[in-house]
Amino acid sequence: MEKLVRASQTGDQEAFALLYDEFATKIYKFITFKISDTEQAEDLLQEVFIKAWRGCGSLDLHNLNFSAWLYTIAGNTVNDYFRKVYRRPQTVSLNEEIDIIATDDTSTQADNSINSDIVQKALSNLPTNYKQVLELRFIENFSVEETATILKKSNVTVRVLQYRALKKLEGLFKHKI
Amino acid sequence: MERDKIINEYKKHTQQMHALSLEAKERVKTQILSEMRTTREDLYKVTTKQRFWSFTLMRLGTVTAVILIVLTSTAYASSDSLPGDALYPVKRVVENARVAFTSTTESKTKLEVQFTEERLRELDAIETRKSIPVRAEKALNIETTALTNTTTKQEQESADQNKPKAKAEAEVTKAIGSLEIQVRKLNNKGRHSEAEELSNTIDRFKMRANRRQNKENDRETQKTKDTIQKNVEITTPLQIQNNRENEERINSDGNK
Repeated sequence: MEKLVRASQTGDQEAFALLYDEFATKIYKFITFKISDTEQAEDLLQEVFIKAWRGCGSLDLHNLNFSAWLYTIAGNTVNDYFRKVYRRPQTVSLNEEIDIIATDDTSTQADNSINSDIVQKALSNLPTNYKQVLELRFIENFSVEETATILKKSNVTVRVLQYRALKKLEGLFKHKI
Repeated sequence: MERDKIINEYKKHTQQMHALSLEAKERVKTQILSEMRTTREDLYKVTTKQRFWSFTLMRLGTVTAVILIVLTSTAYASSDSLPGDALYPVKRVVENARVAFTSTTESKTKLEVQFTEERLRELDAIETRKSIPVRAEKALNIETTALTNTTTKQEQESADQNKPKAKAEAEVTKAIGSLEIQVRKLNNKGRHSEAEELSNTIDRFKMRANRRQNKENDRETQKTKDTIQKNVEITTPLQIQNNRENEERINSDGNK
């Protein structure tokens, strides 16, 4: 990874293309937590990597987490998009929770098997903040501090979001597991 | 439920969510690569421009630093200079700047007293500088006209030596005058005790200047006496010789 980044810094487009291959899917997923429109998400994905290409020349590779840096660019790019479109960044209140659909209510379940499509839908309806924290903390394995930096939130907020997200998931998967 | 199990379930269910299709991935990649080529060229131009300006600014910064060092060194070197020296004007500029940038009247007065002391010190220093020796032995070996020339040369050299001294004396007078103005200002403001204190300081300076002047006058008088004496010592034998020759001529003419 570091070799690819160093090569990109010197202008090696092929090396940067490899970095793109590595991270494109993850960054795209991250973008789509907030942007539902796929075309717009692809445009923003392009924008993220263009910014990364321009900025990588001046990167200090000492103690750098390139992945976290890329996610930070993605977060900023999405916020800039909302700022342009809605004249304010799209933020979700800490207390905002979207009700998981009624089928989560275990009292309506006749048996313990849950249709995975329903789970998928429930998961896609999770609040954006929860999805972001789950993605960054448990899929990308970023630390709390790195996650806080990417999301521009405090460490405490990240921990709270994580706790609530896991609680939601626990309720969702209780009957599956 | 164990956290790890929850996470695993989450990963399982979200693997295909928000997926980027291969086609979309390649499409975006192509667009990025095309943009990258253009961006690098632009960046090169920008970087060159940035490099030019940063180099220019660096040079300007270096030049400024050198100028500041030279000015500081010159100011420092000028601190011991005396009237007539090349760096003396620099010394006075620095002093005037110090007075100008002082905020309170008390500080200004203190500085002016300090600088008046310095003027007197300069005058003393000029006095103790090595003076040009009187060429007495030459005056003994030449005729009256040559003696006259030497005397003129001595007077010339003395005059040259007196230029810095005259300058220094003028500076002392000016400095004392400046303090006297401060005394008047203090009296006008009703600060009589400070005015009196400053007045006493001025008197001390004046006494010191007078003592120095008296010593100078005594030295000059003695020099003049010495010169006259030497002239007499040289001239008298010559005169006697001349008189004898004149007498002999007269006598020989008379006998004709």
